[in-house]
Amino acid sequence: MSNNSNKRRLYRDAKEETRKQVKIETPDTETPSDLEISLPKKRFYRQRAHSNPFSDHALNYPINSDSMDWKQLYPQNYPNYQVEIADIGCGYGGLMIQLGPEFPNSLILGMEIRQQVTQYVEDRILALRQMNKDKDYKYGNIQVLRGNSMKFLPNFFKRGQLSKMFFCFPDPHFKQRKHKARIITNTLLSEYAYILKEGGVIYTITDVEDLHLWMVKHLDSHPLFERLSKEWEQQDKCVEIMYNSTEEGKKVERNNGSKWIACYKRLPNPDDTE
Amino acid sequence: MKHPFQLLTSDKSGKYLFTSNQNVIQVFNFGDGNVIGEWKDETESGQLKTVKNDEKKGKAKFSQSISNYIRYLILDDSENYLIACADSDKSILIFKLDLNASNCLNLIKRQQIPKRPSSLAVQDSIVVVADKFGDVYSIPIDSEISDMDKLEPILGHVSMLLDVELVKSKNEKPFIITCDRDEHIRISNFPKSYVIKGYLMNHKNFVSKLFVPHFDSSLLISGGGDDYICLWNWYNENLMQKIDIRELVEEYLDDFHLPPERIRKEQEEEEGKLIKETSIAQISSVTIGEKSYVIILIEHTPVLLFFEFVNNNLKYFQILKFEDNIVNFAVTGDEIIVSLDSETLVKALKFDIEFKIDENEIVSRIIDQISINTDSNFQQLYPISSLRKRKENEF
Ligand SMILES: C[S@@+](CC[C@H](N)C(=O)[O-])C[C@H]1O[C@@H](n2cnc3c(N)ncnc32)[C@H](O)[C@@H]1O
Repeated sequence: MSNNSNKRRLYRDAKEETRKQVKIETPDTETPSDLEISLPKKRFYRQRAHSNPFSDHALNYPINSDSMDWKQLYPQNYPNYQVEIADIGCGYGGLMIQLGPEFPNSLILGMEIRQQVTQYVEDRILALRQMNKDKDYKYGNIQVLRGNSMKFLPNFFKRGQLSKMFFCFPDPHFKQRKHKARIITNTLLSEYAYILKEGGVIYTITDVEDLHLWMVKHLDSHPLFERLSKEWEQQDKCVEIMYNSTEEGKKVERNNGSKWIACYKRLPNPDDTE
Repeated sequence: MKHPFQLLTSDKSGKYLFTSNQNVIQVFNFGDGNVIGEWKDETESGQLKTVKNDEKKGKAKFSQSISNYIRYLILDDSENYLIACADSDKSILIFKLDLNASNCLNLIKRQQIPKRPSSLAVQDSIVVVADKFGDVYSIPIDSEISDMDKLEPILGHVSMLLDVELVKSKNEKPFIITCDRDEHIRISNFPKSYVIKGYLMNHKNFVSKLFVPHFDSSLLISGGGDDYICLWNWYNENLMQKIDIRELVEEYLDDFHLPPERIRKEQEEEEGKLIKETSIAQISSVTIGEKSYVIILIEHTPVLLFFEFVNNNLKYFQILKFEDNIVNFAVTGDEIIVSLDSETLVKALKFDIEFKIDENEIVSRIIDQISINTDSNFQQLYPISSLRKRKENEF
């Protein structure tokens, strides 16, 4: 093992310890004051840029959505503990951190397939909670889970549970042969439609024009989605947040890249379906 | 030595037995044991050989990937068509049955699909085919052959699909049920299959078989890599019963059922022992008088498990042992025909208080007429256990 990767490992191990201690904390015991909670450093969580959504990762997921214990993930008391907003492929979590205070009464979940990236986000949220524990807003409504969204969303979410789903700067998978690996496809959209409630919204943003056209083509042709207008985009808070807050989006900004947006509303099911 | 039938199926009345043996389909009149139809897939499977060379070293490979077997034999509701699947060119074969002709099998359509098919279903003259890439295509029996590149999937999972069923609810609304290697069973509307109705989730391993019994089409029995099978009311999405099968077959498991060599050491360290694994190879049912029985076959075992359906529950009824492993079976009216991986090849069962082996002449005639002689690998008769997921290396 190289010196650097060793350093990264040690750093993450220490964070892992903190994570464990914070997790078993009950509301009436104080976090030990010598426990250092600081915002995690991204460079210690380096990982390969891509993860294959088809492979059999050793993932943890509930056998069905009824078996999911959301109380474990969100510390404060929320009515029903129903996640309503999902950030699919949340990367380093920037979107949720902006959305959290904007929707303090909704639970927000980021799902990310890469283990170390997920750990980074988890540590980031823990640190934010700790740093804001005396404030009105404490980041209690945002959380991240490691998972493969292309396979296991129905293990977490029930029919019509979500009101918003974000797909920010998804991996482009350029090669023709790999198009099924894209996170928006005709067949996956049916699954997203299933967990979105009627009137719910799919948000997409990308800096790859080709991918934008692909997503638009598939969403346009799906009978359960309808594109929202430019005017709608302009007045929607989330579009603005999505445009500015994600790490990938900031990178695009720095490189003077373009950003393409497309948002779609979930239409009602046809009358002759159940 | 003769090669055992890899597939058996029958019409509702049990008059005919449809079989596949490597690349040959044979149809028998079950009244006299005579062959009334035969068809051989002459397509060269040469193109498939390249698959092997392309395969990256060390990657797990599915043993059934190279062959020209006929897989999946089903009859449409009218019993006018036999639908099968040819490995050689990944195509769906649709035969019109003409029982008065000298050869009852008349191939009317051969539709290639892009990826390897993994299961078929048919209802109201529409065939649906699920593939190993996770997609389902719809192929109307009477339509023209479509250009393969123009076929659009009607639904898809990001997983390997292992079975598909077309069903109707009590009020005659059609639905399509699909199951995959990632434990999911999905119910979608049909033909508007972009509207998912729901999921049946209680499996912890791949789901290889779905079965909707003819005696109550609101029920679904599912099984795969778990120690249990599930009985559902699929329409209400309600799990009615989980039935342990491991205990029943434990004594019939052998080295075949051990995990692959490469993970044994790890498992022994973690679990303290090696755990034999069961895979469901077939689920079916038979009705005798007023009573209905569900029949379960675990891959690479010499036994059939019988459960009686009483008060909306499956109650263990009987286990019947043969002298060798069972490859497949078919229910022909109130009899059961079993294909065996041995010199015996075929046995029939009759019900008399319980299910019993019935030595009968027709079976001997059928065996005499098996045309495939082989000493080649029989491994392909047992493809299901290789579907089990193994942890992949973390990165
Ligand atoms: C280019 S990044 C964008 C991250 C973030 N949304 C942003 O805008 O900064 C795409 C992310 O999606 C994740 N991802 C890809 N496929 C996924 C899947 N099937 N399930 C969950 N996450 C996935 C990748 O690991 C990666 O972190």
